[in-house]
Amino acid sequence: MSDTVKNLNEMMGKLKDVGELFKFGERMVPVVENFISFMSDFIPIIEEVNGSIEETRSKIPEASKQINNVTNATELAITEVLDVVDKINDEIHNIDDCLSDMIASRHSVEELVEQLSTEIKGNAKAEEILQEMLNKIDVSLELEMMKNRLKNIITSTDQITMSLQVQDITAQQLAAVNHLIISVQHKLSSLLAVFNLADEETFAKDNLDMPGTHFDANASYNKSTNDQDLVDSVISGEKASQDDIDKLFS
Amino acid sequence: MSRKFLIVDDSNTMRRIVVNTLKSLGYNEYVEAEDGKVALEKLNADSAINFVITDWNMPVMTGLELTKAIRANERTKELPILMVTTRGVKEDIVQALQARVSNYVVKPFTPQILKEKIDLVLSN
Ligand SMILES: [Mg+2]
Repeated sequence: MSDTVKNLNEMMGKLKDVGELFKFGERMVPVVENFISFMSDFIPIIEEVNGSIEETRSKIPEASKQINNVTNATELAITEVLDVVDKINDEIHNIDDCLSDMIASRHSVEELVEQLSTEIKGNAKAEEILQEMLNKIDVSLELEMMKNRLKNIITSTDQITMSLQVQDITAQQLAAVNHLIISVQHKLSSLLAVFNLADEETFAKDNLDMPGTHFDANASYNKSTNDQDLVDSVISGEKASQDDIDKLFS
Repeated sequence: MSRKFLIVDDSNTMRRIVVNTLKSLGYNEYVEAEDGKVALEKLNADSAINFVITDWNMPVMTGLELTKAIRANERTKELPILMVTTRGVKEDIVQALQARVSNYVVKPFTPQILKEKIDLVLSN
């Protein structure tokens, strides 16, 4: 076979390849068209996502401010309740002092009555009147009862004081939420910088300062004594092991 | 012996509640601090303080750091320290004991618990 025929054969092979390529191209056209159509639908979605991220991010400072407002308002209200509890406790102590004075003066009256009954011994009528008078003015039982009722009121105000500790617990929970949403704001700013191909600092400049983590995110209002029981058992366990160590060195 | 308490808590409400409880127990002498750093300053300025009641979670300086600082100081190392905190898990309690708190109370507490623990610390 001459070189010319060989070259022609080779060229025919290449032309076949080109033909195949065109056929493949034809098949690819609808795929590319679909892809372009998909992209043109997708861009507005991305823009929408971008807009909603920006909107969420811009609302965070207000949400954070509101959380702080709740904490401050609760603290103020609880301080007012504590003021009232203080006044009630002061009044209770005043009343308790008065009752103690009344009980003391009742004892001195009893002593005088004792003396008087010696003086009037033998005078049956006078003794009868004195006894009746004593029965009528005897309020010792009522005084004791009033003292007990005051104790009950003090127990109730103690319970109020215990319940008001919820403020410290909710304040810590809110501080944890605040910390979380501010960190979300910082993350969204970084994300927006990627989407908008803009400087991250532009987005970060209105970020809230990251608050400290001086809260117990797990703080819970639990009036059962389980937590304190655990503390006491850990303390006695630790103490026992410390005692064992001390013994070894003694 | 007269008792002068240092009450350390970043919550105004909690400081107020502890003060009220102490008053109801007959203890009327106290100073307050809103974090561990202020507490140390007050402790250094007032040698009459002989009992510390401290919260754990506070800004600037925590109650645990305060405890370590008090124990590291020759003048204050034997001071009774009662930790009063919301943290009630075993790891926290052990950590506080290792820092040598004298006792530990979980919030919310009753006045009776606080009294019990103060008495216990003072009797040791
Ligand atoms: Mg605190």
